[in-house]
Amino acid sequence: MARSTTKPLTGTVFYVLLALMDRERYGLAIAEEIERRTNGEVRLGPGTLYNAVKRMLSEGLIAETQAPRHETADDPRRRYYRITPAGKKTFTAEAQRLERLVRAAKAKSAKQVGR
Amino acid sequence: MSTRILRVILYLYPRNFRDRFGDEWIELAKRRIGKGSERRRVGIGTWWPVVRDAVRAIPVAYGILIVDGARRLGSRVYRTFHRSSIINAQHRQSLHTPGPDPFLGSTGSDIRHAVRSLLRNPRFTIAAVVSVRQC
Repeated sequence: MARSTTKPLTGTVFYVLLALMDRERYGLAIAEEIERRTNGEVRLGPGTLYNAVKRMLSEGLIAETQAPRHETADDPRRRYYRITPAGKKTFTAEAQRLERLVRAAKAKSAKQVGR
Repeated sequence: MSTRILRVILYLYPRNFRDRFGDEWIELAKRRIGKGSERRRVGIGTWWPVVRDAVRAIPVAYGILIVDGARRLGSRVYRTFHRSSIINAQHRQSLHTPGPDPFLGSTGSDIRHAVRSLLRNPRFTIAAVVSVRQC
C-alpha cells in the first residue's frame, strides 16, 4: 500500500530513509549509519528498527534487495534494503516540510531575541 | 547466556517478526547491550536498552500484525464479494440471453429432484398423495 507523501513521517522512518539514501544497507548497518549521522544521539533499539522496516516494506518506501557483491561473504542471512522511488519522494517532501518548520522557528527565535 | 536471555525476549515478539528478523534482531540487541555481553552480567543497566525497546516495540509489532491481518481479510472479503457479484451478473445476463428455454430447463430439474425425493421416502409419498386426494 502506497503512503501519502503529505503525511509527516515518524522520526525512525525518516532516519531509516536517510540512512538508505546513498546505498543499500542491512539492519545493523542502518542502525550504525543513523548513530554515525546523529553523532550517537539516536540509538535505535532492535525492535523499533525492525518494526519500522516492516512497516516501510508494506508501505513501499523501501524494498528488499540483493546484497552488494563485496558484502555477500559477510553473512548470507543478512537482508539488504534499498530506498524505492516512492521512498525518495516521501523523504524529499518530509525534508522540505522540516526545512519550512526550521525556517519558521528561526524567524520566531530571531524576533524573540530582537525584543 | 546473553543469547539465551535475548532469545527469551525475542520469543515475546509475534512469530512472523521472529521468523523474518530474529537473527538480525539478536545481532543488533547484542550490540546494544555491549560487546562484553558474553560474560556473566546481571546488572539491569546492561539489559535496560533492550528491555526498554522491547516494552515499546512488542505492542507495536502486534499492532502491525493485527492491522496487516485486518487489511488482508478486508481485501479477501472484497475479492470474494467482487467475484460473487461478477458471477451474479453473469448469471443474470445468462437469464436474459435467449437460449434453449432456461425456465423449462430449471423446472425439469426441479421435477426430477421432487420425484427422486418422493421415491426415496415412500411413506411421505403415500401421506402426500392421500392428503392431496382428500382435498
